[in-house]
Amino acid sequence: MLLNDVQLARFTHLKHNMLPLTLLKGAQTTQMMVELKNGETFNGTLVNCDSWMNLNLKDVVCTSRDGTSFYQMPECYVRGNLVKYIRVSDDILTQVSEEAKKERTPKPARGGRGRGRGTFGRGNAGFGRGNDAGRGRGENANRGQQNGRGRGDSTRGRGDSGRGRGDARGRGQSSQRGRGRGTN
Amino acid sequence: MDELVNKTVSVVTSDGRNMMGILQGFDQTSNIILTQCTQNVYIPGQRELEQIPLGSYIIRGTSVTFIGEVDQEKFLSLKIDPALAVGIKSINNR
Amino acid sequence: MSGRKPRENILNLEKSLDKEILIKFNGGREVIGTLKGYDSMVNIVLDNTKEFIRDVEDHNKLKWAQDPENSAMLVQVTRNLGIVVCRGTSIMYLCPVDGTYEINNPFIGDEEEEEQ
Repeated sequence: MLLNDVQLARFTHLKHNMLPLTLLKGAQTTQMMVELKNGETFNGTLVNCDSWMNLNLKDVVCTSRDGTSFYQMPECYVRGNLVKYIRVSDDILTQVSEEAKKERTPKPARGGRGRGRGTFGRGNAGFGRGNDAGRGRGENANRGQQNGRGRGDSTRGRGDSGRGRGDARGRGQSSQRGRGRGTN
Repeated sequence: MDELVNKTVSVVTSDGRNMMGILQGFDQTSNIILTQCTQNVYIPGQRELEQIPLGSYIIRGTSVTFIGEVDQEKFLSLKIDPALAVGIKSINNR
Repeated sequence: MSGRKPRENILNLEKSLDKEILIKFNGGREVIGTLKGYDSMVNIVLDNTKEFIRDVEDHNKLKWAQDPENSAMLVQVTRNLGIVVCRGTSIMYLCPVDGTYEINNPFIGDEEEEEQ
């Protein structure tokens, strides 16, 4: 199928949705300015960030909300949920989008398989949950079993074992257990 | 939001700022990336609105009030009287 | 299993153990204390904690008073809290005290960095 320019542009646009957190990850080791909800700003180099947008900055200059006092800090940890916005350099944006493009091009072979594996893994977990708490769950299942046997060696162990026993009895009630895990 | 990617958008943040930029991306929590961002400041008494260039921004979803597509040329040709465009107040003064 | 928890903390608090850190909380309170413990959710245990008292009129400003030993000096008013467990969810930011100090405007003449 031949696409005209407009259609092609639209098509590529959809694929070019750059995720803010991807950009932030790519902006590691670069200078940025972070403004918090309360109006304080932090100018510093990003050391690390996570999926909650929690930031670890170094060589920071913190500016108070009225812009009158300034603090030099060697490093700083900022909680993501209090960020209002982050200002990054334009270069990093082009850099990250090019990297993303590069990753996208050889994707058919690599990315496809990767994705496949992912769904397989997830499917497997679901299967394990539905049938037997001990099988197909890997680490967690083991934990449950261990706790089931060695009940009461610690407060946390007891709590877990309680759940583990419940599972053994309620085998096959996958959805119920799944929900329980999720909320915990 | 998909249709807004790579378009010029106007964003009002919860602290009452009015920004304009090209939407590069967004995610589930409506964190957004804006490039070539400008902040539009309406100063009463001044003839034209002031556009402060700001560069690239990642704006956290919680502080985004609204996003809308804007035709920048048309917008600038509108010549909104700053006196009419009363400043939007912050919705939280934390 | 819990994919929502970070594999490891993005912040290495290990090296700050038994050192003084400054924490600012969600509502604006600021404390300083010796880091005694932490967990993956950045809940923090502080010892010898001092809270900075804030200005009555402007809660964003800290309260200053004359130094009893040297009346020409101003010192921040604090109160002692002792051992404190700080909940991670209400922490706004934290930084080590060592190396943190007030400086003059470093952006002066730098039009681009002008606030607001």
